Amino acid sequence: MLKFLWKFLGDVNLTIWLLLAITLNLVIGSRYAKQFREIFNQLNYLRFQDWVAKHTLAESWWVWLLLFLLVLFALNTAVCTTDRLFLLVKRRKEYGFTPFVLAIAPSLMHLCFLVVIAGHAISLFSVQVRQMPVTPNAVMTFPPLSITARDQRSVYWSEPKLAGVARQHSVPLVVTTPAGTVSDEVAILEPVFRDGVSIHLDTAGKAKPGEAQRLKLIVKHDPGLYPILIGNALICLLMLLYFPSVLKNRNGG
Amino acid sequence: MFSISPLQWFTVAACLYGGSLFFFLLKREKVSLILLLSGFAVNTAYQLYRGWHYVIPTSDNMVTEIYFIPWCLAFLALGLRLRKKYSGAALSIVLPICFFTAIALIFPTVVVPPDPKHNVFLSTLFFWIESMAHACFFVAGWFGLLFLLKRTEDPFFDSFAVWGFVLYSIAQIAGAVWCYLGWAAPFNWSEKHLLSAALWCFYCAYLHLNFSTRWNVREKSWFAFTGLWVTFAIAYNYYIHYLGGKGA
Repeated sequence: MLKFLWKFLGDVNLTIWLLLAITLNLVIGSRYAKQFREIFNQLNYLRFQDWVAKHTLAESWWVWLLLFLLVLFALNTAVCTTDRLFLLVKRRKEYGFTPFVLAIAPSLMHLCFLVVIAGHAISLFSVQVRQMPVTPNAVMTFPPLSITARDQRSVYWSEPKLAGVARQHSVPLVVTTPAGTVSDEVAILEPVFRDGVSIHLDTAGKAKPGEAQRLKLIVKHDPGLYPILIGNALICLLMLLYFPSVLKNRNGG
Repeated sequence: MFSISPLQWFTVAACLYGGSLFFFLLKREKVSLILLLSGFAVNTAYQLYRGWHYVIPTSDNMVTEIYFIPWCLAFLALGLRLRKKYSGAALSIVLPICFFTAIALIFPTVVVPPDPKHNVFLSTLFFWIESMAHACFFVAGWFGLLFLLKRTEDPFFDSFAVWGFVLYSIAQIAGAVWCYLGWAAPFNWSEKHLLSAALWCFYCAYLHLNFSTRWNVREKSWFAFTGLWVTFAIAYNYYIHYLGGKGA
């Protein structure tokens, strides 16, 4: 039974059909995300368990199905990779160094992919996010930090063609950490990082003509972030190493 | 005196691409190639103009996908023309170029004023590489169709699908970092991000066909051809649904 299950989970055809099923699920999900924008936007700021408690299965069924398919896909990837790694290690003496590196690259990509999937799972279930509109001297507590937004600064383009168009928005901050109090400045696309917490500045809706742009602070602790970014970067590097050689061989090189 | 505004340069490029297609169908390859090259040059000038429309550089406007896709396809066609192996099939790409140019003429898109979240290195890199990846998927689909119609015996489409996937993955990394810096999340539960993930999964499935004995090269070419339409539906969804009819 276990042998059958292992063989079933390690089948590359299962990989193909699972990926196609995930593709279809994501397309259906995108329709839901478009139709119920407010509902699915909350998923960006809430843990999955908190979000799902607020919504019915009629809205969330495809997210449950996506999680099920992703778990199955992660198992499929893990079994395929284990099988292949065992085989490669057993036969390592038959390879020279470069062929061995090339042969092992896809397995390393799959391991990185598992890291990425794990990162997304960690983010989904354990992310902590809080938002605060920027008003002078507004205070937010986000353990272990206390963050005070001093005021809002906006710089505008000086070219006549761009009159009234913002070049950058920023907010000076006073951040109290367990080690003391520090002054920081957060700007659009320039977050501040303190004690494992990131502080981002974002716009809060579109500014009406003649009104100042409203801004908000997003404070976040996301333990899944680095596995996602590092895993993905390694996958790309390995692909750039692997595919040129493989395509050269496939094309008769 | 007759004059055209720089924003109409794209129409000139469209005419040149159309001329290239006309002579390609008449089997006058040299003339077709010269017109394609001219169209590419005018298209390049137009992309550069979009980037400098507001006096200060707005690099994201240079890579607005609806106008940039014909440029990417022409770039690939001309690049392939230089390689002996592909030179026969390369010029046939002028047909998809004309298709996507027509789409750009039907759904014109404004030059967007600068804002603090755009026109940074990461955003431009993301849009640039993503468009090039989409162009590779389109070429893979086109060559897949030629293979199905037995117009070519070599499965050229495979290399384009693979390189498209590699570029698409790199674009997603650039996009994730940009999104994290600006919106505090590398992935959002939004329509656009979910569709991007769907496209990645589709081509990831394609990549795995090589490791299964159940899928032969003809079935792979069907997959690549289907990918053309999947990519089209996903990449052009924004322009057709949100900007359709609004004009430039």
